[in-house]
Amino acid sequence: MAPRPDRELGLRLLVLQPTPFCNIDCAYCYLSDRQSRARMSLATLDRACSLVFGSGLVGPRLEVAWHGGEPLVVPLEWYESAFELIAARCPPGVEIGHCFQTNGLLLDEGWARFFAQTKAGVGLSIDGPADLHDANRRTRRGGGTHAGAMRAARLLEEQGVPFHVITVLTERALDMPDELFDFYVSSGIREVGFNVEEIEGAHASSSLAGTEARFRRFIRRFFDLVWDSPERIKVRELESALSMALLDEPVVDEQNVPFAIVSVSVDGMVSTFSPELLGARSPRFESFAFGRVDSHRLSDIAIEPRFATINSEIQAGVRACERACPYFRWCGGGAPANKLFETGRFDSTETMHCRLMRQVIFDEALRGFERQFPSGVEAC
Amino acid sequence: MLKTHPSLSGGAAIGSLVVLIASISATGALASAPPVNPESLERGVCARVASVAAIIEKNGPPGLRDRLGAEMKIAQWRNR
Repeated sequence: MAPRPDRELGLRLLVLQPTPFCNIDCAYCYLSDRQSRARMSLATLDRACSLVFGSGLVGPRLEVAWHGGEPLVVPLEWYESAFELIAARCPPGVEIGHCFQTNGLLLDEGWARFFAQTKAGVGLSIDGPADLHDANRRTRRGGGTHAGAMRAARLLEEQGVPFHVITVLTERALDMPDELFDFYVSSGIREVGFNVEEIEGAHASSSLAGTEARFRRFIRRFFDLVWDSPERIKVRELESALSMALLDEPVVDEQNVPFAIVSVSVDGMVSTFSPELLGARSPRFESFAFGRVDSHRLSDIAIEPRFATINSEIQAGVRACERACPYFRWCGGGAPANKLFETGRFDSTETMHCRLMRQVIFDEALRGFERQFPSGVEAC
Repeated sequence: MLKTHPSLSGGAAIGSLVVLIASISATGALASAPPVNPESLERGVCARVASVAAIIEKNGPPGLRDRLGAEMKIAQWRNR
């Protein structure tokens, strides 16, 4: 029987790669083809729409994430056509939400107006103060990009376009929780999500390896700062962990559910599970492109032997996590891409990524709550 | 009350739980926090979560857990 996404999840996220090209060259980037200037054709996008909307798996809302490369290197006019095309192909009753993750260097007033008009979500990649940001987020000539990213933040703020910031934490950041907090607050940044420097794809090592105790101290201090002035900044990881703690049902990780996420590359290759798998190579599986938008339906992919093997291994990994990990109920089994890139297999369990981003974060979110209610927790 | 903010994921808007919890804490509602079996401490993270849920259930706004919505039970891809 072909695997289908959880009924409640459906196909909820379409990740589109308008181009693999990036105008900068971050030290921790996992993309191997970020020098390619290829651009997705509207014909490919049209076929991607057919693949997704013809699958019968899309629920009442589909999020479209424009993820590169740097999505803003593709001209604004292309997106105007692309948004029209998607709207035209979208079945009645399906709400589309677009989002962009950008380094901001090419963001101008035209982009800001477009984001405002389309109500697209905007994530800016800013790693904190200039010295921290520019240590990794550099141009190909080695120049810093912080000034350009901050200019984009100011422009969005001036234009009234809501945005959030995603910060990639590296080893250097771990000693700077107060500096990071002060930076966000003084810069008018109100929503922050933390990612970690991952062992992933073309980036085979991480400065965070072996730093769990320091990472915990960083998160603890940063969360304390947030708890002490909660109106000033909203932190995705803290909010999410607290929400999960309050739910009755176990968490499901959308990356472990076949076709909950569908990723389409610039040239129309199709993948699912973790979007980082698209374009990645593996000695065991070669690639994770399971089909093409011009020749496959998702139902074709679901019966491909390689897909079946990978899906089986991913589900075995989720079950192994469920058996072994006390955090499983609030995690959902970890991200397949991190398992593969760290351990070589999908049916493994604990990774550096999950220790830092799932276990430590959850622990420290609970600790922050307990700090708010000390006598209540003692009574427990 | 939960305030509406744009969501990081671009999905359904949610309020800030940190703001809400801090405001509950500030009201001193804690005195009515319910007791939990001391043996539950042995369960580690489960017991801690039970304590969080019990305190919020007792002191938080009615129906808060329902208002969090199904979206919150999904661990989302974070590169967006």
